[in-house]
Amino acid sequence: MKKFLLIGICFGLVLMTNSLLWAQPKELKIGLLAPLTGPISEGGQRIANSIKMAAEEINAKGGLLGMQIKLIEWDTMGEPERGVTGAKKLIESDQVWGLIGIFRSGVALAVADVVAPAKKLLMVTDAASPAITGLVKKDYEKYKVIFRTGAMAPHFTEVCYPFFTHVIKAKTFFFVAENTKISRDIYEAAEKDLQAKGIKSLGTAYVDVAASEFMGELARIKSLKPDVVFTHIPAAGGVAFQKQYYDAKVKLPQIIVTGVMAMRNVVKEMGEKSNYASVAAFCWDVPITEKTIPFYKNFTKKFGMDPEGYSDVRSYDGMLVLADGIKRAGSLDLEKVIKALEQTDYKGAAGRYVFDETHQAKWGEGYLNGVLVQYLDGKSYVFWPKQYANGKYKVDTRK
Amino acid sequence: MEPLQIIEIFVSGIVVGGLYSLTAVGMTLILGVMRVINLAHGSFYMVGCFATYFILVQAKLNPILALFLTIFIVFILALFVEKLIIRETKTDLMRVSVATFSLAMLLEEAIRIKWGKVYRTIPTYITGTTGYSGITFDNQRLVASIIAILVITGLVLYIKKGRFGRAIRMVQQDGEMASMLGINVDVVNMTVFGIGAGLAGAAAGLLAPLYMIYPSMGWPPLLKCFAIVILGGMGSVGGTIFASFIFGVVEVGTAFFYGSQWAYAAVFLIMIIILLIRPKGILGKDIF
Repeated sequence: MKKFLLIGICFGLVLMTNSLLWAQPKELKIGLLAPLTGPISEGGQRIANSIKMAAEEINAKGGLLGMQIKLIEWDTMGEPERGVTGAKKLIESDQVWGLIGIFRSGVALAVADVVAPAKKLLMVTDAASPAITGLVKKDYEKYKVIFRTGAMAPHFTEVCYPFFTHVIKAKTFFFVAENTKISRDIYEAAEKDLQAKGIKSLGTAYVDVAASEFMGELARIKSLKPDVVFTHIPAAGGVAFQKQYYDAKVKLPQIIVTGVMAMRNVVKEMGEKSNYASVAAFCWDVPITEKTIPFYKNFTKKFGMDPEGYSDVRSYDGMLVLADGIKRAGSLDLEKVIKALEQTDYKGAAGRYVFDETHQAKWGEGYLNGVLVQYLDGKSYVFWPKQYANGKYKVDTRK
Repeated sequence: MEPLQIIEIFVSGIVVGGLYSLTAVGMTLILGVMRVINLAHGSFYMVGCFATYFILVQAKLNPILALFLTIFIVFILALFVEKLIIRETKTDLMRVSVATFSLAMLLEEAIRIKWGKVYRTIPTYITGTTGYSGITFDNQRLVASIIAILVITGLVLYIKKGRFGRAIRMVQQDGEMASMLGINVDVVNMTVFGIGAGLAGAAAGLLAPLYMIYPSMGWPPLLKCFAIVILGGMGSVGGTIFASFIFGVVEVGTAFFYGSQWAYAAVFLIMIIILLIRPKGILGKDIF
């Protein structure tokens, strides 16, 4: 009798251990890659904060397939080699299911060659180079694990076009930008596209990334008198340029491609010097979808700063889009999740997410689009497109 | 090309040069008297900008008080740095350079961890503009430039005429002899280091409202200062001031005539040419 009891207990223990070993994991580990320290940590923090906020919201609603999302962070410092080290560590040591985030294109391209052979999903939420999703086009079988909710470089140009064509009805423009590859890509696209619309470039000024003095550039702009000054100085120099633009009374209509001038906490500290500056942004606190304003309110409340409408909102949406894909797939099977993501039609805070054949979130009317915003007396208002407009564009008429 | 445009470019260059001179003179003073290449000079400027931000924006104190407090904070910080790091390493040029570089990195990361997660800027506290025939300058910039020139002139006069200034010059010429004559060289060095850094603090107090404030903001001014100091002649205050104006005018002029991408290239080209003609810089002497 004792013998049978002992066998029974042993059998029971084996069954229990077995069931414990094979039980569904209670948490879904996802690796978060962003520059959390170093010179570009401002953007990296926005990415990380937004993704964490989205994960917390998903977890609060019961998680994903019965599991709680556990984010494991890795600081890339914006360096490709650190990105590769981080991706390997997250995949091999932490055994994450997939990766999300990434600020710089160089990092995304380097990490792509880690996730592809490891068969791990990568959701790029910020890095903008066309080469990233170009990999999917080039070798679908290898790189189909890559998706991007962030914008692609040409979108940074296209978001500005209504300012030239509808708001100012410009004939000429002058381009002033940081001396970087993305700035040159923006100009190349803008020159071609705007010329086709009858708008001629009067020239360019590429300033050093660390430049803080722009007197020469402003004197040149004043002498050329373009209809529109097209600006892409997304980092710290953007504020110095704007202050000097205002002080030098350039008074020419100006459109700024997102970046630091879309950060309202910074702009508030500029005082009157931000007056008349117009920014082409990917999102603003206007009801683009029913999720937009709640996102802005929650982000501001949680982190004590306003979203800048790109790195943060696209990363927040990136996490939600990924969760939506997993939910619709009904399992963590990579092939099933990829198929589900390819069929995404999801309304995020920045707009509607549908992926094209290169796994890039579609851009344009009815999908993701931008808004044009102007600052006056420390406040901002959207003046384009008309359905979200809560103010009208004003020309600088100071004497 | 209208004459007015040439005047505008020239005046803009002079104003920009005036702004650069304040930071550069502090660096050259330390170099000339102590024979120390202070690679943390830009970081003192950065610390000063953060100090100005907190005094002006957070504590909402008077801008003049903010300026003096900023200078004082940077001055005190520099005294500690001189006592703990510079004095121990300055006999070896490589050692002191590495030590000040490491200090710069340390200050940058410390500020980044504590306050550097967001970009910051300060509203200008001297408002309005001054203009003539379409040439416009904001008053903050003009006042900063004028104060920079006044501070430097005062400093030069003090070094030339003042009692302590004479001690500084003696240490500059021959430290050992100065020591034998009863001058406390350590005190002179410490004070000079404090004054040099304090000038970076003054630049921070005056210029912070013009730019963005972030932890790595000290590196571009350091590079410019270094170029200006070499151009003017290492350790020469007069040469540094003159070189600052050349730097400003060339930078603005090149950006206007040939495009901004050539501005730094032109400045460094002129630097190479001057160093070929005058190896010690415009007004330089042998200091090492």
